[in-house]
Amino acid sequence: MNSNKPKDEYLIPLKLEWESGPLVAESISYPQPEQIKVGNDTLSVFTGSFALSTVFKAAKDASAGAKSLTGKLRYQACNDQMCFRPSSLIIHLPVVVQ
Amino acid sequence: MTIRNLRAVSAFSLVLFLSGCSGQPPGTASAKTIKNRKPAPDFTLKDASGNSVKLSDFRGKVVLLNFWATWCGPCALEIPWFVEFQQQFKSRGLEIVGVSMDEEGWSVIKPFMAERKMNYHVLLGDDSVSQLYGGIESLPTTFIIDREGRIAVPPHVGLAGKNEYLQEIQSVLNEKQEGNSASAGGFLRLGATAAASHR
Repeated sequence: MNSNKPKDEYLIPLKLEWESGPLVAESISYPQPEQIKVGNDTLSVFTGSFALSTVFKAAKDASAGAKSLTGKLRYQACNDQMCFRPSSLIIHLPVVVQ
Repeated sequence: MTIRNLRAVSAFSLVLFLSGCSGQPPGTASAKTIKNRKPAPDFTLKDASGNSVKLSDFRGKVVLLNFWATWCGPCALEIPWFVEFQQQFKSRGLEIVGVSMDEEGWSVIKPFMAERKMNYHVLLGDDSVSQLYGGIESLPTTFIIDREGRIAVPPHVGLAGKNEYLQEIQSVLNEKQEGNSASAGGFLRLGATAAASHR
């Protein structure tokens, strides 16, 4: 699928976002993409299994206890013959604030 | 008329007779026989100028209906071919209709159209038209529709070859339009014309 920084402005990047909540997403790290050649174009993609990581920080007014964070991963994938429509994956992440 | 010419006329007429009976013009290995063709679902979508365009507006034309999007690399590979086909075959009744499935709409489609010099009809698609055509999950997906509004060849899901499109377009353009009095008895009339030219 497209990486978070595709080379063509029309391509849909991989994007992870977190809703505001008891924890704030300080930074999101994406892996190093692969550069693959398709025809005359070079695409920046992630293939196979890969991991995204997020550094969270507790909000100053966050109360202790079990909480849930909600995120959304937007992605769009192709192979060399066709592309699949963009999709979003909703993520629910249980956390405990101490 | 000499005996040699008479034989040529007879052979020519025989070929036309056999072609007419098959219901399928020669060289159309991938086109469905006419009796097996299903109607292409009609729809109304907006073009870049905000005008409503119906698929049935193109009745009498051969339509290449292409579902695509600006974010689709394989789609972008096909677009120059379609530009070429539209120029080459418009006078023979080809109309190319590109249905964009870009969720961001005309803000991304219009600049893309300008960059690629898209010289054919571009409409903004939606889930409704996608469902009419079986649920368009992957792009490009392309249909070729005959002059009577029927799907003439199995749809191309994914990138297809330029020559494959070319052959299919020419094949369907070469088909006689139904309801045309010339086509109903076309093979007999052509046979008579050939006989006259050989005298």
